[in-house]
This record gives sequence, C-alpha cells and structure tokens, in this order.
Amino acid sequence: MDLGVALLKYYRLMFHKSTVWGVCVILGLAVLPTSAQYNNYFGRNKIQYEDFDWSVLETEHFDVYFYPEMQVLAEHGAAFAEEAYAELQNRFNFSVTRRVPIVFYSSQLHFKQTNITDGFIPDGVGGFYEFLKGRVVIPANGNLHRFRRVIRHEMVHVFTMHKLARVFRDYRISMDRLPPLWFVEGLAEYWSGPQDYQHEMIIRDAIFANYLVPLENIYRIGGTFVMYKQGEALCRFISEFYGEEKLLLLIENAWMNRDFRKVIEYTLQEDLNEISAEWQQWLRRTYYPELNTAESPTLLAEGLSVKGFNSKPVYYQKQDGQRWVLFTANHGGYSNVYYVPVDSTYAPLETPKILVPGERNSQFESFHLPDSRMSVSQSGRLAFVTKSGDADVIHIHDLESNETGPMYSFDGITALYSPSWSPDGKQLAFVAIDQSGFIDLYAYQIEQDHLRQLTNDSYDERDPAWSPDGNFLVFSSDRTSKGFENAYNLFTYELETGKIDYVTYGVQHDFSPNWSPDGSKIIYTSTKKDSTGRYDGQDLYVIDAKPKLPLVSLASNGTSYRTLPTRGIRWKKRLTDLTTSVYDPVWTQDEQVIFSSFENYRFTIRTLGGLDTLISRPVSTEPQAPALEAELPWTFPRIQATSAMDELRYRKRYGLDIAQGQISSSAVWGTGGAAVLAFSDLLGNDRFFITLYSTSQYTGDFLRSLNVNISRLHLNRRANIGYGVYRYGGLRYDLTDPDAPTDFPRYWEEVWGGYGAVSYPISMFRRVEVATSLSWDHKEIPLRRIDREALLLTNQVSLVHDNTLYGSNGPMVGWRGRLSAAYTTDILYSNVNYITIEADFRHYLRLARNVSFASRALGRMNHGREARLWFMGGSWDLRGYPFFDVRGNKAWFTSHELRFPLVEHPSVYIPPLAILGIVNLRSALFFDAAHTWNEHYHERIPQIYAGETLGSAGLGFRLNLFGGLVLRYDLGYRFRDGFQRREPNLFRQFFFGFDF
Amino acid sequence: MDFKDVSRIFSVNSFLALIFRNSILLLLLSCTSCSGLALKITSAPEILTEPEPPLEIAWTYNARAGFGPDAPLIYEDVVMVATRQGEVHVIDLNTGKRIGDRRFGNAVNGSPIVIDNTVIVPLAQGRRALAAYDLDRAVMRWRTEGAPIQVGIGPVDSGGIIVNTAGEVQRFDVTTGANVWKYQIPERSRVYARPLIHLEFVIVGVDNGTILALSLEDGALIWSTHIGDPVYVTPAVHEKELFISTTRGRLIAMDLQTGTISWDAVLDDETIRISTPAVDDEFVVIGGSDGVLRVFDQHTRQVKWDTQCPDALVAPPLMTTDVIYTGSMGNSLYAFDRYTGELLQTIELPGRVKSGIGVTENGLIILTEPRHVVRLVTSNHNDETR
Repeated sequence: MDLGVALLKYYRLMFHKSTVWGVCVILGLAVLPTSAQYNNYFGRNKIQYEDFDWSVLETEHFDVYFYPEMQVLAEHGAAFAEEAYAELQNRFNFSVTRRVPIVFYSSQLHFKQTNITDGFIPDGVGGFYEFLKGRVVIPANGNLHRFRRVIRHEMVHVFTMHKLARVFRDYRISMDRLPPLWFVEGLAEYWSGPQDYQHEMIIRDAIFANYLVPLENIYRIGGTFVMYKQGEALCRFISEFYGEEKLLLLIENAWMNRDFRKVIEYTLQEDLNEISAEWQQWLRRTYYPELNTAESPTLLAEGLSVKGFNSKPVYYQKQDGQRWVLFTANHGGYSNVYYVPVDSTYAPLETPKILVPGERNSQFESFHLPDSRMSVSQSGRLAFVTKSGDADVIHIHDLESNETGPMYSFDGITALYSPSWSPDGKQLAFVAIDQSGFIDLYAYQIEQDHLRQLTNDSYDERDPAWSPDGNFLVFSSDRTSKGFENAYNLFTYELETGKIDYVTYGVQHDFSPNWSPDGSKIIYTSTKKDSTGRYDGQDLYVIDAKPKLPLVSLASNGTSYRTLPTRGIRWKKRLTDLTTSVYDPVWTQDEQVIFSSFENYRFTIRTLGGLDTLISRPVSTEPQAPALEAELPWTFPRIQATSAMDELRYRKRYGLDIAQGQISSSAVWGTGGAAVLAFSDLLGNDRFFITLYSTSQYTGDFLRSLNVNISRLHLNRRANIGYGVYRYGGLRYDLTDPDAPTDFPRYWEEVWGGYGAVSYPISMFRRVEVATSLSWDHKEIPLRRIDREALLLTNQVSLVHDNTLYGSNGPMVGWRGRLSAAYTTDILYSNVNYITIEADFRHYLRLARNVSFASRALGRMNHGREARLWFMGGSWDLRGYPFFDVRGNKAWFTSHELRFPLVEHPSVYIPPLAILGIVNLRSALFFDAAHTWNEHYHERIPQIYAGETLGSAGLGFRLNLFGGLVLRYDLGYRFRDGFQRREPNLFRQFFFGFDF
Repeated sequence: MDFKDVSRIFSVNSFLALIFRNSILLLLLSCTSCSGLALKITSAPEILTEPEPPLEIAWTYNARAGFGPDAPLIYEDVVMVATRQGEVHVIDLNTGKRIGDRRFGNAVNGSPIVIDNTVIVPLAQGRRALAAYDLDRAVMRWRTEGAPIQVGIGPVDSGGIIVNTAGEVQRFDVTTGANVWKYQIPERSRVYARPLIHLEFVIVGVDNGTILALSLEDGALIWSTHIGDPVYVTPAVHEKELFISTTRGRLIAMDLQTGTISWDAVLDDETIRISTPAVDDEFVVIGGSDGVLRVFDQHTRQVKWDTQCPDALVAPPLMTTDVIYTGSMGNSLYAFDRYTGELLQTIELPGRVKSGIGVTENGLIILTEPRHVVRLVTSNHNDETR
C-alpha cells in the first residue's frame, strides 16, 4: 500500500497525521505491513514493550498525558500547546471549550506502541489528531523546535475541527462536508510556523521538475508529502494574494457546498482554474529566477543508485582493492543495506546489491532511513542502526568476511542514530535518545563495554563524525546561541577535555559533517534563509577544521598591553549552488565526494569528482569567526507540574468509542436487530465491547433468540489479554455442524459460556496465541431428532508468523503462516470430543516491482466425535465452486497466483477515474486445488464435494476502489476427479476482497 | 407454506410497517414547519430600568440552530431571532415560550428587520435574496431574486439597506422589494458586516480595507477612506464619529462627515480580531480574539483599563450606565464595572456567545451556541416581569 494512500485512509478514518520527517514520507514506500493486534489470524504484532506509568498535567486548556521519565519534556510540550492555543485563538477567532487531551511520548519507538490508534505507525509520522475523542498524540524526537512545530500543527487541526463542527452545527448540516486533506493539512503546516527547508525543497523541486499538481487536480496526490507541501504553499498564496482572513472564511463557508472547489470559488470570488493559474504563476515568479545560477544535482554529479529511495552513503576500499559504496535504501518493498562496486573513477560496475536484508526479522525490524548515518571502520566493519524489539541497536557487519555481528544495545537508550567509528576501530560515537526524550552525544568503548555520555542537555545533536586523529568529534547541533532561531551549527567535541567549540556560526542549517581524509577540512551541507524568508538549496560546503588565521587583537588596559582571547578564523567555502538539496557528503581518498541528493521527487546516491578543483574555485568563500559575545544557554519555556506525582497519576475513565445499531431482514435469518457498543479508556489500553442482537421471529421469541457478548481487552502490556462472557441463542445456519442437514443446515441452539485468550508477541513478526472457552451448549435439530446438551471445553494454541508487506490489493512480498492445534471436549456428557489441527502457509515472491507470485498451502483436520466441518469454495479460496459448498472434516488446499498489473494509476491517464475511486486494475493467473473428506480420503459425498480432488485454473481481474475495496472477477475452468476431467463450461465468479 | 415463506412474509410486513410509521412521522414533521405566523409587532418602549448584576437566567429557548453575528430583535413583548437553518422564531419576552416560527428555506445569517408589521429576511444561500413575510395576514408578501445576502439588513424608513455577495449595496422598498438605488463596490471585494445607517449616511466596511460612506437618499458615494486592513464587523457610531474595528488589531476612529481618520489604535499583535465597538460619550469598548476587553477613554484616546478574559471575545460588548457586558467564546457572560474594570459577575451560559446582545427592560437577551436564546434578568427583579 502506498504510504500516501495509507495516510489518506487514516484521514478518512478520523485521524489527522502530520508527516514531519518529510523525507521519510518521500520514500514512497510501495508497501506497508498490516496490523494484527486485533486480527487473530495473520498480521504483524504491535508490541507494548513498555508499561508506561501515566500521569496527567492539567494546564489551562489541556490535559497533558506523560510518563515520569519525560516530565521535563512534557512540561515544555504543555507550554508549547498553550502558546499555540493563544495564537490560534486569534487566527480562528474562536475558543475551544472542551479540554483537549494531549498524549506525549518521549520517542518514536514509544509512540509506535500507542493504542490510541489500532494501526501501525510508520517512521516519519510526527503525530496525529484523532477527533473521535479529540485526542492529540505526539512523540518527541530530540528536537524541541520540531516538537513545538508538531504541537502547533496538531493544534491547528484541533481548532479546525472544532470550528468546522461549530459551523455545521450552526447550520444544522451533517459533518460530511469536511474540506479536502490538502487544505486541512496545508493549513496546519502554514499556521504552524514559517516555511521550513523541507517545504522549500519540495516546492522548488516540484516547480523545476515540473510535477507541481494544479489546484484543480490536487486530489490526485491526496495524502502524499507533496500534497502537504503544496497545500501549505496554496494556503500561503491565498493569504498573501487574497488576504489571511480568507483562510478562516474557507472554513466558515464550508457549509455552503459539498464540493469544496465551489466553496473556494465563492470565498475567493474567482474561478478555480484562474486561482490555480495565478498560484502557479506566483510560484514560478518566486522560484524561476534561481535557475539563472543554480544547477541541478543530476547534471552536476554521476548517479550510483538512482532507483527508489537511497540515503546515507559510506565508502570503503576492500583489502582486495575493490571500492564499494554502501547505503541504506528502499527500492520498493523492504529496506536494506545495499552496496555498489565502483571503479577508480567511481563509476558503478554493476547494479546495487543487497548486503544486509532488512525488515524481515526481529533483528532488523526497521531502518531509520532518512535519520541515521552508517560508518565503516578502517578494517571494514560497517556500523548501522536498526530497531530491534523495544529499542534501537547498533549492528556491525564485517565487509571483508560478509558476516553480521555483533550487535550493541544500551540500557535506558531507546533511539540511536548515526554511529561513527573512532580511527582505531575501538570506539563508536553516536547520538541517542534516552527515556527523558532528549538527545545527547555518546561514545562507546567496545572492549571495555563502557558507555560514556558526552553531553547532557536539551539541545539537539546530530551526525557525529570522528576526526582522523581521534581527538575530536564534529557534530551538528542547535546548541548555538542562534539555536532559539532554529539554527544548526557545527561544533567539535574534544574527547580529552570535553570542550565544545564552534566550527560554524550563524542563522543557518549546517548538517551532516564529515572529515576530509587528512583531517584538515570538514565537508557538510548547509542551507539558510534569504531576504524573503525562504531557504535556498541545501549545498555542499567545506570549512577548515582548525582556525588558520588567528586574529590577534591588542587592547590597552591603561598600563600594559594584553592579548584578547580569540578563536581565529576558519574559511568556509560553498562548493555548489544547487536547485534542490544534497545530504550526507562523504569525502573519499580520491578527492571524490559521495552524497545523496533530492531531485525529481527522488533520493539518489551520486558522486562528484575533482573535489580539490571545487575547493580551489568555490561558488563563494567567507570567513567564519564565531562572535565573542556572551553565549547564554537558551531554552524553551515550561509549565511546571506543581502537584506531587501521585496527584497527577492517570486514572482510567471510559468513554464511548462506537454505538451502532442495525436492522436486517433475510429469508433465512428472519428479521434481526443488533447493537454494538465499544468503550475504552483515554489511552486505548482497556477496551470493552458489548454486542447485542436478536434473530427472533416474533415478539415472544425475542429473549430466547437474544445474543449477548461482553468482552474486555487489556492492551497495555506485551501480552494482550482478552476475556468475556456470551450467550447465543436462536436459529442457526451452520455449514460446519456435522449433525445439521446437509442441504439446509439450520437448527436451534443455545450456548452460554465464557472465554479467555492471551496473545503473546515473540517479536514484531511472530506470536503465540492461547485461548480457552467453556460453554454449555443445547442443540435441537428436529429433522434429525437430535436434542443434545454438552458442556464444552475448548483449548487452543497457535503459532503465527507474518512478515509480509502489502500492495494495494494484498500481500506482495514475504511469507506468513499459522499453525494451530485445539482440543474440544464435552466434560459433562462426552457428546463432543475432537481435536483440531490447522496449518496455513502463504509465500509471496516478488518478481518485479508490481509483479509477484503467491503460493498457499493449507491443511485442516477436525477429528473425533461431532467434529466440525471445514468449508471451501468461492472467490477467496477454491475458485469456480459455490461459496461454502465444498465441505469435510479434513481438507487440504493449495493455490498459486501470478499477480501483475494491467493499468497502474489509471487516473493519471483518465482523471475522472480518480473521482470514481479507481486506484488500479490488476490481474492474476491462478491455479487452485483442494480435497475434502470425512472418514476416508476417497469416500465420496457428492452433496459436499467430499472425497474428490477438485481444482480450477483461469484468469482474474482486480479493481481497487478507494484503496479499500477490491472487486474480483474470475473466469476459468473447473477440474474434477483429480484433474482427470475438465468441465466444459467456463465459470465466471464475481465477488470482493483482497488477495490472499 | 413452510417456515421459510412465513419468514419472508413476516419480513415484508415488518418492512411495510416501518415505511408506514416513518411516513407518518415525516408527515408530522413537515406539518410542524407549515405553521403560519401571525402577530402584531409593537416597538419596545424606552428602557427605564437597565439590567444590573447580579443577573440570573430567566428562561432559555431552543431555536434549533445557530445564529449570525447580529443582536436579536426586541419589541414590546416579543423577541425575534433568525437562525442559520433558515427559520425566524418569535418568542414571548416574558415567558420564553414560542409564539411562532416560520421557515424561509435557506440559511439566514444576518438580522432581519420588521417594517410595517412585515418581517424582511435576508437569505444567505440560493437564488432568493430577500423574503418579506406579512405578520398581519401570515402570508409571504414578496420575494426578490438575486445574489445571496450574508449580512444583516440596515433598517430605514419604508425599506432597508442590504449588501449582497455580488458586492451590490442596495436600498429596497418594503412594499414590493423593488430597488430604490444600487451601488456597486469594487470587484473582488466583499462586505461581511451589516451596513451602518446613521443620519444621511450608509456606512459600509469592505474586506479590502475601504470604508464607504454612501448617501442614504440616492446611494451616491460621499466619501471613501482606505484604512489598509480588512473590516469584517459592523462599525459603530457616536454622534459624528465613526469607529471601525479591523481583523488585524486596529481600532480606527474617523469623522463621519469626511472620512478623515481622527485616531488609530494599533494593538501589539496584528492577528487579534476586534469586535464591533460599543461607544458612548465617555468610552469606546472593544473585545478581542485574544480575550482582552479594552476600554478606551474617548477624550484621551488612551486605554482606560483592560482585562483579560479566559476566552476570545467575538461578540460586541454592551455598555450601560454602570456596567459593561461582554459575552465570550468560553460560554460565559462577564459583567464589569465600567469605570474600574472590576468583575461584577460571571454567568455560565449554554454555549459560546458570538452575536450581539439585546437589551430589555431590566434584562438582557443573549444568543448562544448551539441554538439557545437566553434571557437574563436582575436577580431581585419582580417576578411578574419575567
């Protein structure tokens, strides 16, 4: 599933997410895993590693939920929220009269454990607003500026949704006229602060590479990162061109028309196409002049890996002389560490190959692709970071022996980024976030197993790199005195003394420093705002590692002369003037620089030769002399908790999640009514479900046919626990009941019981499930004169594995399996006594980006007294046979499909298809085979197709609507008698559902 | 007949019964909105006793939808409010009971007017612009077609002044709805506030930052002053001085005759939206979206006092001889001593206040979200007047 589609789905399902680490979203990951916390058949596991001890800080407008380890961060967050509230109250001319719950997590890894949303949270989601209960959920990532901005972003959502609700209520209109996502997210971006460098990067690239989507077609990029940034640019344009007040008017006028385009036209008093044209002109007038001087990375540097998302390159020359460029990448599917051999001119010798496969097992759960650099020691040991279980770990992969190991993790450290080897290969420096949520610089002595924390403050540190002489670390940080203005400068940390010194200075973003091989210079990237407040391209810079021309100033104190302290001058040289951005430069011994660059909505690995020439003829040179002004530490305000922690402790209060009623009428089932209620606490950890329905045929039968189920789920610990009681009664239509009439298996049954279940995740990909139930069962089958009672005890244990990634229509790559065993017995009357064994394995081999071969093997057995029947048939398994008509106590089934696209993104060619919700049209060549039986394998029971090997083969078509509904049309031939006979007629079958 | 057939018949019968029941319900619902509305509107006499804190809620009326920014219309013994669902409700001032209501089809955002016992309603959506309803005969008197009207009507003798979404300022005649004159404001500009009628002037604040003074007689432009900031609320006037609030933290006073700016108060934060001012001989009072109530001395032009309320102040404040009242977006009405700024009383209301406050004998009429009309009276007031 495309990540953009995923975000759009979240929006439709009531969540507003802010994608803050934009570059991550740009990954354009083709596939995402499915969550399985509540899907007990397959799916990955969302694991609650931590048992958070929640507290609540009450401010004027907010209830801030946090855990004690991150109290300082939460207090900053509370201040940010109140600050945003005061500003947005003016912008919206509105007050929010309900207290808004804000749930903070100290890191992305903790955030991923939240139960407030059921789905998996991918890297790059900066927070979300859920408006069912009005909850805002935000993780920190070590950067207070970013934390503050995400809070403001989500606060804009809070105000927007409350204001819209108010407007619709005033006009007595249902809440189905929500503005489109581009406006909602664009406004949140626009009103959360001035445009950042990522915004500029995207808009600049969209204009230069000509993929800017006009306003009238912006729905085509719904949910993508480009949409966020285009939405922000549109809101800025509306503000500057039509007036800031019009943004609020667009919300206040939302009641006027279901079509937001009409609302825009009414509010701005102009035709939509005219608005769109003016917006594009406005952007072009802004950015086109830059093309006079700026150069594109593609024209400047040769590509080493240009397919998919590529980042964080490192370089190593092996002992046999081979040169390798290594990087982390996602070429569609799983993220991996790749390598590409290059020649002496750094031209690639072959296509990139996978060195370390990632995201398939618990050891390499996920890479922090856009955030964490890699490092290679002089002896060829590659250090990189992945998430593994409850924290990030550093992996070492020996490039000479091609072996992975060892792996380092650290107590109290949750997130780790950018390890860097010391020159002697005995230490690793890195930045890490501990439980408090603040990021700091660390050095780890491997042999001594000793971790040293080098900094301990609230500043953001990034990308440490060890100097070739081993004495310094250079890193990027907002600890500069300009940091309050969100500037990042480069600093050195002297390992001997712990002294931190400026390298660069000024209001700019200096990132990704790396040393030249001789240690005399530092190469890095930088971008700064121009006079209009916009960031320019992110370019390559080189600066002297040490001051070269110390300034000696003399001053008189009246009696004698003394030398004033000075830090000297470093010369900073800008090497490029690029249209977009470069990242993570690496300086090789051959005067080459390898980096990743962004252009045409793609991150690629590139190499640029002649670094010495570039340095001798830079774009510009300027001295860099840190001011001698007093550098007072800066920090953001806090709203400090004044009560004791005991008073702040979170107390569960349950709120309604769902209340739903339904009435149905059926010839078989009669008329039925149902109601579903779901309650949960604010953190979503404790949930109650109440289901009531009746299948009564007449009033007097109501209670007799009343079905009740009350369940409770505890999700706050690693083992998810569920239990409940139920009463089912009434007429049943049950194909699996062995006693029921074969042609029309309808009978009366009453069941009273209770159950308990535990699901324990071994890892993200594997879990054990144990369940037990005890029920009293009374069954009446008049046609067969059966009237029996039973006290049934069922115990079941299952092992489930799932590491598949989904495409838009179903799994695309990976494998999943489920192995179950159960025993059901009547402990009172011995009427029922049977065992169940089930094995279901599915494998997906990706042949090309959108082509995969899927295989499935399934074996099922119920054996014993009154053993239930399994059933098959229909579009979801044995195609060509009627739904549920193939039955038996025992069954095997296999299915194989070659899945391929017919038309990808048809709305690109025929735009109206997007409005119809047509996401894609795919096809599948399929082959199915199955055999069911009861007592004897070949004993034929024609009514249920038992005792015979059946099969089918043919071609299927899949039409995906709105990303969530797949229509299936299959046609093919049926095979009977163990494939000895093909039925003459072509079968056609239409249904819906995702691929297996 | 086997049980399957019985089941089907039972299902069909149930379904038919459901349809029947729903049809009856719909019929009843539609009848409730068909009711005629006949009554005699009499202007309210001059207020002899101003409301004074402590106030208490006398009654609350559910109008079924929200209200626009204008104050309710108050007559001798009735209150008239228009809702954004397109209904006009007439409420007994003393009891808070509904006297009648009338649906006009489309949302009503601005305040209606009553002339010659005819209520004239500006319609905010659709092809109809104005609807005149004869309260004597309980019939629709006339309707006009044209661009919708999002703002209230400025009442004049035998008619009114409207501004529609096409940017036309029009004077209409109450007998037929015909145009008396029309003035076109500049293209791509819009008026978001009811025009102010004073003496021979029609004052219109435009969102492009222009204040227009038109002749009430013939619609001719008398003067035009560009103040730079958009105007989204109705100006206020006291004698010959006009007070304009902008959306960007400015309060501007100008000469009514010439449009010359006499003073200009600029707040520190230009994102603050200022409410329509309340003005008298001594003070100019404004509420702000920052929740600050600011009281300016008319003579010194300085802030005499200000006070921070917990929530945004969007509705125009109301000044009486001793008290300044302001409704807030935090579901409260505050009463302050007009000279000292001392908070005299905070009254919890059913919802936010974003409409003008109406004054009655010894009481106030407040329009609150989500759909309530609230009458407040002085606590020790004689029960008979409630």
